[in-house]
Amino acid sequence: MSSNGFFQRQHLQLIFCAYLATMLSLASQLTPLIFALTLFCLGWRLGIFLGRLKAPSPWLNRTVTLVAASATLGLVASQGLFSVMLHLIMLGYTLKFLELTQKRDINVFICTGFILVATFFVFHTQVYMALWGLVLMALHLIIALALYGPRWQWQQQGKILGKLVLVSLPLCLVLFIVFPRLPPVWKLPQQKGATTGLSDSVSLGDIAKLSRSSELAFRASFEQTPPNVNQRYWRAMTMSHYDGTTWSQSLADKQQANARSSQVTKTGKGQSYQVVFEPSYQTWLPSLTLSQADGQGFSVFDGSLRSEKIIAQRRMFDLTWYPDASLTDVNESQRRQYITLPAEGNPQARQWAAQLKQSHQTASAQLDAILTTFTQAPYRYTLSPPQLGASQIDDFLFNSKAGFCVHYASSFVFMARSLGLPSRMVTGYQGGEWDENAGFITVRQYDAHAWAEVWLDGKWQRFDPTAYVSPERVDMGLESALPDEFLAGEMSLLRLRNNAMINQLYLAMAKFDYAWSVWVLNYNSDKQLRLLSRWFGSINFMQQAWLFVYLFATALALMVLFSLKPWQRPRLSALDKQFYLFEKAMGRHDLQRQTGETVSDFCKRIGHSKRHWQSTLTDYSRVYNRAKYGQVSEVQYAKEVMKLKWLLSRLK
Amino acid sequence: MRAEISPILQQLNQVIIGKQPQIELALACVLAGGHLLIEDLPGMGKTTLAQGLATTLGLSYQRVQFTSDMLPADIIGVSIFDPNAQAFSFHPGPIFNQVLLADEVNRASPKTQSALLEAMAEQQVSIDGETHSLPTPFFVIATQNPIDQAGTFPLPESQLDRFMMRIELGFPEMEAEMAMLQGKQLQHPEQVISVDDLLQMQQAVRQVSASEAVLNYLLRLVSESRYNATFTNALSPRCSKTLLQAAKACAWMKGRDYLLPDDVQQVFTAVAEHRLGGISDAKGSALSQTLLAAVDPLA
Repeated sequence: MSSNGFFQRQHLQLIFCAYLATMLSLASQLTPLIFALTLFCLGWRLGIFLGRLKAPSPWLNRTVTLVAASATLGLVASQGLFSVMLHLIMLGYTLKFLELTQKRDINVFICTGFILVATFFVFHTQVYMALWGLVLMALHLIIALALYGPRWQWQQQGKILGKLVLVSLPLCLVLFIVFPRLPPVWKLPQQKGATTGLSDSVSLGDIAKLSRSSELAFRASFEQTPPNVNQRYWRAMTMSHYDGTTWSQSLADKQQANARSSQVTKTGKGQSYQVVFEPSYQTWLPSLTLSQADGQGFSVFDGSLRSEKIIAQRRMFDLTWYPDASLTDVNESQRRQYITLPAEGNPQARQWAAQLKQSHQTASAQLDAILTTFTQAPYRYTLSPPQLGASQIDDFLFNSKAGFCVHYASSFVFMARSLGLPSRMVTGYQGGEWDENAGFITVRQYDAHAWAEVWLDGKWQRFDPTAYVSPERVDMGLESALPDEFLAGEMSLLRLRNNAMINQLYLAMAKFDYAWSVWVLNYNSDKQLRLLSRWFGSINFMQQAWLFVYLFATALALMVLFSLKPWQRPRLSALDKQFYLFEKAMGRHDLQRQTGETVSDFCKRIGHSKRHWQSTLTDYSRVYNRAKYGQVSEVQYAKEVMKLKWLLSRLK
Repeated sequence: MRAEISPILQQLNQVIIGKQPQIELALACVLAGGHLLIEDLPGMGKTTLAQGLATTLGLSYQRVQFTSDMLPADIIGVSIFDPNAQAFSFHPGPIFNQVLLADEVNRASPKTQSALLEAMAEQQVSIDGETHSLPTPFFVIATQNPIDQAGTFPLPESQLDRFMMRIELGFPEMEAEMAMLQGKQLQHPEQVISVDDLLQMQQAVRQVSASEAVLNYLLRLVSESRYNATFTNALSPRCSKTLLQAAKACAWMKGRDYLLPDDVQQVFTAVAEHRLGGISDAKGSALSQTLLAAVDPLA
């Protein structure tokens, strides 16, 4: 450790901080195994720091590196390529941390740290995470500063760091706003992620779990007034297959679900809106019934929207809502699928359907009767219904009579199919919180909902049986419908919103976070082009490239100006300029004035080596001295400067 | 060289042969109205130069040989009871001369050395509560042996600071010493100018103009001594004032009525070295030279 002029102990403390902070920031993406290594390295490092242990020998380091690297490569199959890459870098970071002995090592450590901070931005896109990322960057920068300016005090280092960051801000902004967004040359391997949210099948009890999560699902902003709460049905997908316990998409549906379809007939006026989706690691896009997407999203057979790529990061979509449009097409094989029920099970429900068929003539009257039953009989809306027996629908409809949206929707679709009406289960979100001030709707996981669609009068119609049991759920949201059960047993900051001040703060932060998503995270080439053409008129790619070059050069020039501050430099007088030329001319003969040398001494010294100049040089120093130090009038001064010019010309 | 002073220099150059730069500095010191300290080994001509200077300028002078048992009264004078007048009468000491030649000043005890302080700074002495003015012009020309010589008390910094210049004579060139041995030395110098002439010259020296550029240079020199860690003793504001006066005298002697950085440089070692502590730096060059090399006259 003593070899090669080592860094100081305070650097080591900083490095400890930076290492731990970076490691813990990425902890959610790392396998627990690597933490064992981390603990080991930390312990050893601490031992070295306290002088109890020796640094590991190079061969041990190499062996551990090789073993750990090959072990990590073994994870490719289970973790995905991206994760493995991250682990490899982390491994290097950890082992380098143990190995630090020279400045060079610290440089490597800092650079690796920067790469890790960059990957941190891949996983975390929220504003406050971005700020934390900046802190991580600053930590690494401080190490670099401490390394190269070891004599500076903390405050001084902080000042320099702040200055550097401030100076680089304009460049950052120019790069961000104007730099052409080229299509990526390489792609990040798709990382796997687990998150709460809808899944592609639903059984009784599924949505209740979601209802306990206050995690953000998506946010939508409208150019005009948003739809009423009871109109906000954010449709994610439809399910047509029922196996007695679980609703899922039929095989045929799944095949069709990846194909574009233009079934939606645009009727009436469209209303455009923007939705910022949180990462769901799925492709479906919960959207108002019925919507169309431009760009990266497309409609599929059942009118729901899909994204071309899995949503692994916060992404924004421009959508158009057609409130008056309806889905009309359904072919024969689909129709058969939509009335299929398991061959047996739930006899009571089937029997009730047979009764309804006899007592009511039209299909809509039959469905109304079911809904009326939900209203009149003692049905209860609750998130914690009792366990159901083998015949779930029967048990629910005639026995427990307590459940939430999935129970009601699922029973309703079962009944509709028993009546011979094509129908399907729809999952998605309902409601959402409208922030008048900020202009967007926030939809959280607890807004997840299930309802039914029935093919009636030549089009698909929405039926939400939950609305009959608990109108509050649809009109005012889950919190009003179930104040006691809402987020029961969950730690959620949302509960603090009863406090007016905290609520204000929360709203302000939410607004900022939304703006961040729209303007920073989803600032893509389209948006860029739109913004630039708003500022600079219509603009093509080449013009944009030039614009970037100009702006970048301007920012760079400003940086140079502000760091050199030429306006603070004293202005050279005519005399000083003349003498500057003189010094330059002498410099060409390899004659430099020494720091403490006066002009006369300098001239004398030159005279020793250049004898033919001697008399001119004597004159030169005399005239210079008189003009510079004597009391001369302005006219005299100008004359002397001219004389110097002439004398200089003789020295060539 | 200005015509008025060339006869002075001519004569002094005959008194001490081959020491033109030191003689010029000594004269500049007198013209600037400052006290002069000549330091060297015994037998280098310190006293000769001091005497020659006083005689040439036509100043009344008295020489006092400082010894370790000297008391302040031996310099300043003493009040003695006169039985005839039934009163104390003051018998002025040797300090009541235009030039006090304090020979081997560092052989006296600090107490006696300090008796010179008021006289040098205020041009007056106080005895028994009575203040006596000293004649005009008034100079102390002191000689001292290097402090490593036996039986010396080093002058305190406060005393050193009151000497405008400290010059060293150094060994003469061989030709100069030869001329001396051949008896070409002037044994009895004569008065060349009158006291009035001297006062006029001093007045003229004060008239020399110093431009902002050169004052700036001077201040940068002084501040370098304060902020550069090489220098343990910083230069005082009194030193910058003294430096300016000495440099002006130097400029005037060369026949200029404005000051150049060259003048400052010329007197700098003599003015600043004893104030800087006079111990050479790591490379063995004088501190004042290190300081001069560090500051750009044109910056």
